[in-house]
Amino acid sequence: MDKNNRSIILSLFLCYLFLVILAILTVAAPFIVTWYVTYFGRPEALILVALVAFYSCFIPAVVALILLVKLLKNIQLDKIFIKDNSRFISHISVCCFIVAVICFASGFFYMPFFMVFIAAWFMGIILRVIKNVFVAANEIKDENELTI
Amino acid sequence: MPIIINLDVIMAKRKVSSGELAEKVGITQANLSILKTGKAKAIRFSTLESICRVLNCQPGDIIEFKEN
Repeated sequence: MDKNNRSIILSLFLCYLFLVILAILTVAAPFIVTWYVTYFGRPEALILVALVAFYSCFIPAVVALILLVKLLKNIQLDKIFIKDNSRFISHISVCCFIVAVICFASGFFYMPFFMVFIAAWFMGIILRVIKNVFVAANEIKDENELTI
Repeated sequence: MPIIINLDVIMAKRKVSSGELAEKVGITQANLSILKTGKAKAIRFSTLESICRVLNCQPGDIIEFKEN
């Protein structure tokens, strides 16, 4: 097994691990948020805001993770610069923007959400740039393959 | 694309099969098919040179420009 393949397997493992963590958090979120609010003496209204934000972000996060797994599996099969991968990256960036918008709205109720908004928005922009690179690389690859 | 590949015509005139041409030129039959069907985006000078040598023709016999 070469080093690159091991790295892809590690990335896949991290994705699956995060999916499991998300699944656990989905069940445990109400307890964790309630404990946090009680322990640190935060306003009780924060429970609802945090839970709404978490469960709203849950769907785009799962979609992004599934797309990441698909992307990694394509890379594992040496299908790197293909249209599907560009589409996956584009959709992942959209997921980041959705999370950013949710966190932006939540930020008005609890300030630290603004930091998540900035991180998610920045990630979305970076992924869009990577998607543009993939599209250009895909065109170069097509041209190279169709040069006889 | 206004570039037309007349490879089929020259091959028929010279009575050369696809398999034979591909082997003599040193490309796969799949690539020769891409070239013949006009799906190719570019042709290397080395490939063009080999094809012209094998088919005893000029590049202009194989490639033609036709305005749409």
